[in-house]
Amino acid sequence: MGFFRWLRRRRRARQADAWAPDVGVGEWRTVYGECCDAVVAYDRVVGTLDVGPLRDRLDDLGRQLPPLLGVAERLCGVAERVSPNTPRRAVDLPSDVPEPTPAASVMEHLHGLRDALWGIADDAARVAVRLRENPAATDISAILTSLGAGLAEARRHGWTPIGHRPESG
Amino acid sequence: MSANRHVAQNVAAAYGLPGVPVSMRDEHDLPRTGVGTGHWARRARALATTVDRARRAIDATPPGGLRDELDRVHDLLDRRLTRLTRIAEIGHALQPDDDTTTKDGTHPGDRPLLRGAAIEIDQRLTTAAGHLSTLATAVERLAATLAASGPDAVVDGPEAAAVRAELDTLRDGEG
Repeated sequence: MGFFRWLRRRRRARQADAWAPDVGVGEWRTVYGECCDAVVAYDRVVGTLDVGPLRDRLDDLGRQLPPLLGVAERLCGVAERVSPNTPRRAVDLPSDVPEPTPAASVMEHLHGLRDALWGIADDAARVAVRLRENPAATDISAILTSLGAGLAEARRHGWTPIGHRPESG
Repeated sequence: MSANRHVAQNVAAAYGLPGVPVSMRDEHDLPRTGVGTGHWARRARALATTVDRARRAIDATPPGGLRDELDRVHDLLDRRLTRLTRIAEIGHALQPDDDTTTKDGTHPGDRPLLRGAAIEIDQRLTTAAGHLSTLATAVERLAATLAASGPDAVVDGPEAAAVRAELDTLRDGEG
């Protein structure tokens, strides 16, 4: 059982490959890489936990992160086509383009998604630290609730017409 | 490495969060498990040095009942050190920092710009280091008292009773 969970974590780490999507070499790639990093950090933190029900639970929760990377990939992919390499190019557009520019708006969504993913990794680290300090700790339910809320928050940031696909939820 | 990857890494280092994202680094710049070779390793090393300081002081005391009790206090410090090192590993897992690469956004020896739970972990380690240092200093002081009083004096007498009382205080204060 432990082997399969390890295998799943390994596969998830491979899914968090910042080079996989075709999103140019600019800031879209950077922000996608930062989203991937949050998933990698989450897996690395869960890897520090001792084998047990809580690690299994966090492992299960981690399986819900790659679909969110899929959302980030779609957002970056479309944005790269609209404003190649960097949303800053939108600044060069004529002044009658409404503010914020579509590229800036997508970047805002991506930053929100990235921060929410990092919030999830942060909460996993809080759980891990609490358990290291006191292996019999029973007061981690608030952090676990926060983890769930973080997941919802991340989904909310990906909830855009181009980010959402029914099978991505 | 392709030229495109190199450009993307340079852009990533210039924009967004500090350094090049781990998922965009080359194999030799990737963080390993454990405490790494940077900030978290320095934290763990400082803690280990503190406990080692207590160990050396205890080693210099004459054998006897009180020395055994000091040994037990040292065991407590050692267990605490193990726990704190594991916490430093969590810090490195969350926000790795290595002195073997500048891709993490810091030069060797620099303190990284921590964020989120990494700040909390760092603060915990700082607080724990202070606590550990206080305990180690107390152990050193007791060990010096024992070393000065000689093997006969440590078995009985008011001095031994005072040392025992201090040892009890140390054990009570250590979780």
